[in-house]
Amino acid sequence: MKDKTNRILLGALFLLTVSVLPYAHAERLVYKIEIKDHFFIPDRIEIPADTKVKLVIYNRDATSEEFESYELNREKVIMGGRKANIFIGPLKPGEYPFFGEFNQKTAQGVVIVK
Amino acid sequence: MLDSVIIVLRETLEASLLVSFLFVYSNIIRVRKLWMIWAILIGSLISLLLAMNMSEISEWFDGTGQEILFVIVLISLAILILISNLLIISSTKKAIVQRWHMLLYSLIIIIAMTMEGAEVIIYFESVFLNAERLSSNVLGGILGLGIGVSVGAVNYYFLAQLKQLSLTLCFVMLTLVSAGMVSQAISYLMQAGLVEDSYPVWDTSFLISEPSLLGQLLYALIGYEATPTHNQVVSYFLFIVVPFCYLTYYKVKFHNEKN
Repeated sequence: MKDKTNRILLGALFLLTVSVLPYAHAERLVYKIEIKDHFFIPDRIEIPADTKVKLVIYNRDATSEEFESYELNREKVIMGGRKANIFIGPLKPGEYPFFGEFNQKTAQGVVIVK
Repeated sequence: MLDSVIIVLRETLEASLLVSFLFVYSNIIRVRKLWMIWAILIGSLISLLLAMNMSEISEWFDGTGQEILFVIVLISLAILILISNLLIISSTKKAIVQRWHMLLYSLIIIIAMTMEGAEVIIYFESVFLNAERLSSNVLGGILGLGIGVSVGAVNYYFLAQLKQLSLTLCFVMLTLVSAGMVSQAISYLMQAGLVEDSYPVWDTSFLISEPSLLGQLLYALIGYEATPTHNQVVSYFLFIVVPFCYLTYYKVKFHNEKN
């Protein structure tokens, strides 16, 4: 019985590993965003459709912020004075809002995919 | 104030529901819960250390330290919960070593508390540095913490009343919780650019949107995502299929042995 359980577990782990194997890295488009006084600058960025791009977000505030987007399925804490890399895409054309969870009144932005 | 209630509630809810399910399991196999109270305290202390070092950790691995740490935490939690689920099935019919269960549950609680606690602490740190709405945000945070812990307590006492059914309910819920963790881990890998993102397999945001109250609750409970990618869906169902296959296998075997 133990053998069988082990085999099932091993199979599960194997499938999981295969499904998350990293792919080769290609050159990426990079977009820079700043957080200043709890605002995103710029708060609109346009990216091409069907392309993986890299967002580099610089937090110029002393306080930490959490970059979050339900539409992009992204969530990352950016500590005060630090930067964060976030990969997004490939995406279909449309508008994908994002916000700073710790300062939602001001920290709002949108990724426009064209 | 409402923002701070929700931010803290989200993190607290995930941890407190997980703890309440493990409390029910420990009732079933008659393990003392004192261990787990210690685990909560230890986890909280480690979370303080993690929060203090998050700036450094984030810079690791070319700025993907945070994601890699969360992936390791989520995958270990999912596997430990899976093991707990497999063990609890056998434990209802067999004598098991209680000490191992105690260790397993404590470990799960320590890891979960570390992760959720760190996020709450980082939020509070940013609140304290922002003098403007300090008092209302602190009040909101405490309120969120209180509601989160209460929901966990209510969930525990509710499940404890159900006796035999509580085992089944906990098994189902913990299975979904672990599947949700794996799906979230894959989302972090895509965020770090380590796994290729793909178009969502489906979009259920018209049915239950993620920012809605129900969406948030389902996210905390079962890792609900309105627009999952194919590798998220595959791994989610894998973590559901494995324990249920084992459950069926065990039931059939036990049934055959009895006859």
